[in-house]
Amino acid sequence: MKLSSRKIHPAIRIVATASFAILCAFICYFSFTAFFLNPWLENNQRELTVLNFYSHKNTSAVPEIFFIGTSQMKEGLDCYLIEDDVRAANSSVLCYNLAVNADTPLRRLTELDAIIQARPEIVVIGTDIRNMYSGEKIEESRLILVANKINLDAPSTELFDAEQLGLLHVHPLEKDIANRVYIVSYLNYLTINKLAPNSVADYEYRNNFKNPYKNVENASIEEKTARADSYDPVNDTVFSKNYGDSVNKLALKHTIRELQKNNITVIIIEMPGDPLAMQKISATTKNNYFSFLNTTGVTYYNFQDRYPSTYFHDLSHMNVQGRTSFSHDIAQIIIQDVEQ
Amino acid sequence: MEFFSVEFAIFFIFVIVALIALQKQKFQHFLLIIASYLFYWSTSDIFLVILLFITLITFYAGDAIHKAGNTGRKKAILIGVLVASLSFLGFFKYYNFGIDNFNTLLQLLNIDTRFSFISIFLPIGISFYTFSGLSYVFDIYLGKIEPEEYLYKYALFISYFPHLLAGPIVRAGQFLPQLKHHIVIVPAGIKLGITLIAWGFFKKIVIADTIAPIVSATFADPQGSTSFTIIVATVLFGIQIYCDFSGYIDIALGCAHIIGLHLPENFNRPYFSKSPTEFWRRWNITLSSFIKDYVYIPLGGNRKGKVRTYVNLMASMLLCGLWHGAAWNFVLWGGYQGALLSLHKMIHNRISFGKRVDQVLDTHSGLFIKILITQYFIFFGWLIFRCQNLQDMVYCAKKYLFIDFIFSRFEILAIIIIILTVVLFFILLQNQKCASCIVRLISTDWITTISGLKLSHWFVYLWVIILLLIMFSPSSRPEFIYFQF
Repeated sequence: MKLSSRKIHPAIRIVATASFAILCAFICYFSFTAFFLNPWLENNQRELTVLNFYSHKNTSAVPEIFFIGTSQMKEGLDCYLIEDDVRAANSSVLCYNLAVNADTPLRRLTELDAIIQARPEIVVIGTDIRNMYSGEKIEESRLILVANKINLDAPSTELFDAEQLGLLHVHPLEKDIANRVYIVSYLNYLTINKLAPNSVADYEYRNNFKNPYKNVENASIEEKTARADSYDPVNDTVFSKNYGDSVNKLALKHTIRELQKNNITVIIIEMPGDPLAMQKISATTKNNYFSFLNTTGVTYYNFQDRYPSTYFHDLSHMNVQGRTSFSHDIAQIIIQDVEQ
Repeated sequence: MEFFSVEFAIFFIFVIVALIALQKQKFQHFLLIIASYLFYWSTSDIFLVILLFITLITFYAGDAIHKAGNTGRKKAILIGVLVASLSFLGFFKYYNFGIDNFNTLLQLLNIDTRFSFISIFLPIGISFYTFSGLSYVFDIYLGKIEPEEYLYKYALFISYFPHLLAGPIVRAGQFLPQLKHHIVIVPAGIKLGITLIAWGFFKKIVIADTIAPIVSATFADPQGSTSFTIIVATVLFGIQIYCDFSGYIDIALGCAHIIGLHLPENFNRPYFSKSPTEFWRRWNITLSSFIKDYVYIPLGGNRKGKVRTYVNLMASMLLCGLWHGAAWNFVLWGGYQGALLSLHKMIHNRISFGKRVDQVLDTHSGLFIKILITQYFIFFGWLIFRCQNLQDMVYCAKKYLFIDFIFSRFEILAIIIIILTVVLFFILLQNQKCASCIVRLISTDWITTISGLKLSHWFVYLWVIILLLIMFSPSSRPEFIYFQF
């Protein structure tokens, strides 16, 4: 019998078709990530846009100031206002708001090398008391997003656990598969966000390093009170285990040490919070926290209880009024520092 | 071992290859029993002994009932096996619920004694295999089937891995006759099986698991939510639970089709039902027929007068609710379904809205109205099912039944689109050609149609489904909802 006239068993043909469908589906998916998703992420995912900013930034003759921190910093600081105030004081600086939502000192270690390479004059770190207590767990997708794009020094490596380090060094194909969690955002960006800008997600701020905020309606005092009531009290007796040797505390100290080693001035700003939320933090906790900030050896400014509740649109984030006041206040610190 | 895992794929391929390699029917059955027990052991560990116990007790009870000389003895054995089987189910599923309610009762009576809870892990699938075993005993008692001669065949019927964890509840009469023949894996079965498995995964992973976080977020703290949010979350939950459960069933049926030992259908487009009675003929068919055959009819069904019919319906559905889980919202949901069924029975064929209206209701548009009204009440049932406590349930029910008309601009846009879609649908239904086309689209058995396509077209179906699975599978996958039942 001729080989060509042999019939392939129908069951084998079915299984082969199914296997081929699986193969083709994967090829299509990886093509989609390579040509559409990954380029979009590079331009629209804050963790990546910030990293790209550091690596592509041109050197400048004017002193540069990087503001890093969480969404409190991101939404609370208008760099244009600061630059105007500094200019009015006959100085000149370039300010960049490079804060990232839900950031922690630990996650920020992934940016440390890039920040140093970008050589700013001053780095202003916005800290938050709750940030030091929690945040050891970092969303897997956020670590995978920057995987294989960062350099970690030895002390930083030690602060991440084995699982986190695994995620920071995943295989590129695995990374592409994991990035599927952003497909819905990508589709939102292409559809709903185009129809109703700012309705679903604030894509606009992601590439904005000057004034990256989204105008949000202010929550009522009742809503804020109800929300504050649901918060767990922050108390050292409860959280002492986390507080004592928290990796975030160690990560912050390491960040400061490395920046100073590279002749970069570091300023710490304890970020403002709504008084309703601040009430939940015990006095002892606050004292212990500021004792810790003292051990970092850098100047810190405490804005924690500086502003009234009307300056916040929710319990943590400032509204236009709060943002304006805070930016002017920060400008004074910068002017003082530049003068020195 | 999850269905959606590399381990299961390897396990399943091995079983298929081994089944093809084994020539003797008996060896094939033994292989499937070993595979099924291994599968159950991988998910439930030591609780394998409960599966074994239920298998043995129902097998020998069935035999004893068949051999028993008089009805009294038969009844005594039946009660014995019922108590033994249900006590396991009761202990694992309802012990803490009972203790909780008993403690509340003691508190109300001002008695200080409190009974402590115990940490119990509910063996997955216990409700399903217990009910399968009991159906075998009931059917022998009712003289519907003869007892199975061989224990190994019976053990395979109870433990057959595709239906072991979340159904469908298989009847001995449907499954055991298939074991008389040699298992032959045929190309058509493989194709239909793969088509179903792919569709099942799509429903579970792409639809149900994507919806799950939105539903959970709303029902975790619904207080303060607007009517729009509650209604959307309720509708999404209805879609989630359907896609989750029917997705599992499709995967189970798909595996069974490939092996060649078929399982009964469990869903038949339930959200196209035109009445609550029809809904229960289309939703979780194997459970509702179990309840009908072994609870509703033995209680007297509709043979003992109107009032007794309603009482029987109520009792059956309360039991159905309680079967779903040890919580008062499930009992309430069962009661609500019982009330819906009774109400439908009460008004069905008794109330006339006039000749013209009745004529309209018999047209395609009328049927569409009936479907919308039925589903409004069915989805209200899902709201009861999903709420976590009585306070939330009352709040959500108010918002569902009495619209607060608080809408954002985006929501208004969504409502306009929905209304326009419904109006367009009504307009299309006025045209006879369009209407019959829509009916044909809805009533076509798409899975059979797709599996009948030639390979090049079938490839496209699989390719698209797999691509969507890769793209939209959430990073964390919740378990199948019905595993907890």
